[in-house]
Amino acid sequence: MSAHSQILLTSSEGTEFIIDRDIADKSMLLKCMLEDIGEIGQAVPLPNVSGPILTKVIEYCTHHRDDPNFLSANDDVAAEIDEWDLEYCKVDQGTLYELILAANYLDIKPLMDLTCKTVANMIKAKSPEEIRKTFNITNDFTPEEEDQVRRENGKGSRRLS
Amino acid sequence: MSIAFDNTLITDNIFQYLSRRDTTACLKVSKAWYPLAQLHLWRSIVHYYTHRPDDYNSDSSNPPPEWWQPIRDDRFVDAFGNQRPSWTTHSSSPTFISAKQKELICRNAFRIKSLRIDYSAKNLLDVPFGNLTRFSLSCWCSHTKDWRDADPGGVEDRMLKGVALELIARNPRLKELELSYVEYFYSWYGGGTRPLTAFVMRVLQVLQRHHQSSSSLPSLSSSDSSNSGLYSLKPVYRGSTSMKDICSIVENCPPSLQELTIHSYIDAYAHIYTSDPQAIRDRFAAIKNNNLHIHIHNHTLNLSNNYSHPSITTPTNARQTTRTPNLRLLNIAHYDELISILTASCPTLTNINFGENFIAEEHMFRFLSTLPEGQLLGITMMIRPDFLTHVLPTLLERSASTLEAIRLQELDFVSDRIHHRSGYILQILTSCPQLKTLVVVPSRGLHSNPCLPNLLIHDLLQEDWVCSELKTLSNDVLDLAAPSESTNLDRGKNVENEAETTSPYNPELAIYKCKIQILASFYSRLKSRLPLLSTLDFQWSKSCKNIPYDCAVEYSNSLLTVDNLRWMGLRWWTIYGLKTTAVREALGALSEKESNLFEEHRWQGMGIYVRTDEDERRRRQREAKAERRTRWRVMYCCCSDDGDLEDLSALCQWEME
Repeated sequence: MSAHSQILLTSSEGTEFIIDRDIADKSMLLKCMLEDIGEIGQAVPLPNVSGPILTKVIEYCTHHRDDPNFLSANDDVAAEIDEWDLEYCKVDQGTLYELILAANYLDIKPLMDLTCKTVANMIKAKSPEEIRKTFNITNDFTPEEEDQVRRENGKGSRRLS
Repeated sequence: MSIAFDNTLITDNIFQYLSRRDTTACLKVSKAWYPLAQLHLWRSIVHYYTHRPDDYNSDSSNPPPEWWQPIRDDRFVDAFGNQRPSWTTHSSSPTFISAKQKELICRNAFRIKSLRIDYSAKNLLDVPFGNLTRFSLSCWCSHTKDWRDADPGGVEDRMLKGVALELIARNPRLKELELSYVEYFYSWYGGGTRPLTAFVMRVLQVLQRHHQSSSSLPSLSSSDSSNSGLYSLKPVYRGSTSMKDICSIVENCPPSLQELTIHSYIDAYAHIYTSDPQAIRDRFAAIKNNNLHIHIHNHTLNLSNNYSHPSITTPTNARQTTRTPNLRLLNIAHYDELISILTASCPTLTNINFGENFIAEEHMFRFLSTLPEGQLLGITMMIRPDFLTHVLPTLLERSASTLEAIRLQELDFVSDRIHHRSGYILQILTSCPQLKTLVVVPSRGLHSNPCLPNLLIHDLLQEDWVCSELKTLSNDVLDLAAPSESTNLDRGKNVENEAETTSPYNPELAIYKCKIQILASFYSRLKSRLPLLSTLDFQWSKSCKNIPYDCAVEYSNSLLTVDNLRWMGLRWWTIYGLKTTAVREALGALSEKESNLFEEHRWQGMGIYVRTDEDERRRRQREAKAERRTRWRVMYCCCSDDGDLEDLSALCQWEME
């Protein structure tokens, strides 16, 4: 089994992708599967991942192909996202969510961490109203409920006197 | 909302990056987000109760901060090194967890990952926590309201320990465990039998069982074992201990442990009675060969030096495959011979902390000259004037290029050595390019007589410093050259002359003005030399204080400029003798965003801390009472996230509605 053997993947709509084995190995799902059943030469179906998203995922794995710290890349919670990753995550929200789901499904931890961090950054330092706007959420609290939530978490209650 | 938010793996991942403030904002977004954020709000409980410092003499409850520790309370530094707020309350605040609060906590017990409480919240111990990863319990109760309940070694105390043991047994996922307790309260006065480290041994048995049960389970991959199991254990107990006990503890640690810190009183005489020092040495050697990293420090608790307070941190690195002893942190206990043992077997030592042990000059010199050159990153030690001839030069010669932190406490420095004092500090500042922290604590003699000139600005500013990365500079007492001397006198005269021409001559005022000029120029020079400085801690000696009000306002104004505030990153800054009006004015000049930031930092305990006249008066009062300088935090808090506080009573009220 040479390191440069190629793997065939099919996305949810049936598009075929040929990728190098070492790129497929970035996904723990594919890695374990390939280790377990060996390369059988058949396409691996990925019914949960659409073509455009799979392209995007492959782009990420290819960029980080020779990254020695790949698995521990985003372990540092406080660390800044590096420039390429930042650019990579400049996608619309729908794509971002699908990327998270794909990263979760394919079990690519660094991509998962990166995308989740991106979402967290969208939430950070915002008011509830701004968060609603960002994620296009309607406020379904009644005024009374809202009042309760506020009373529970309002500034005044944070400090004991 | 995307289905991505339905997956707890994903939401856990997202929320780990959010602060409590952000999580609270999420709570208010919508009904769908509410439970999601709620889940992440309930991660930890912190409940501490201690009395106000004025009420009690320090030493007997929580140990006071060691002299080498930063001023701020480390208990509030979270995993990312961010300062957590600590709230002070009056001693009249409710002390214990109420039934309502407990009920609420019970309901959320499975969500709580971190529980840090002291004796005052002991009734939380029977809450069915099962997912704790961090548990910290302080059984030291001499300062709680009903301290009579808590007869150390008595029924109540044993019960508490029993419940704590059960709690530990119920939580196999524990990663950090900190226990402060009294082992045998009276025996450290030198009672007949030397107490054993009984409780910690029982805890270790429980932990061993955790380990056995987890290792008997089939694990998916070998790397899992390094991530599971207890990572850090910190028993802090009162009761004397010996190296033998320490060895037993180290030998019985679960293999996953990477950090072990033991605080206890070392039995001052134990090493005399140790039947076989060689056996102890062998045991230590065995421990090191087993790839444990040992960190011992010994702290004398009372001035008579009879009882000492050692701490051993033994980080073991499970992932490490080499068997090379890899000691990174070393604090030395009472035993001089330990130096030779440890240095011989720790070729990779990078940080050393001698704590409050004075190591004789020859030993220190031997130690420093055996260390490989250019390796030491941090050193904490007591120094005496005789160190200035050999030890410090050796230290700087061999390690100046790598040293990042130097913390020194001076012993027996007397007034005739003063020029040495400025001299060696200057030497450090001019020879260590990597230096980030410099803390110098002057000897107590200087404290009792603060009129003694101490560290002279003029000497310090004479040469160019190389440590442009310095972040922390703490020198305790700093002094101007007495204005009647040399250059200052000339400058003083100039000022006097000017003053004479414009207004009625006032020589005293002129001298003060001159002083203030020097002070202001000192700050501006500090600023230009140390752009990264974020903690500056010193006080002016008496000769700089008692400045007339007008002058002080002027000085405060020149100091607290917006520019200076920005330079300090709107953070921690301790200055004595400033006038509040000037402070207020300076803060008023900040932009809205900046004052928010400033407020936030202050909220987190990082704000500029200015000691006003009132503080100063109180401080002097306290000193008059011969209290030791302690930085107490009075805490009563309940908390539902690491460090951030939640008023549980308000929460309960809402829940009950």
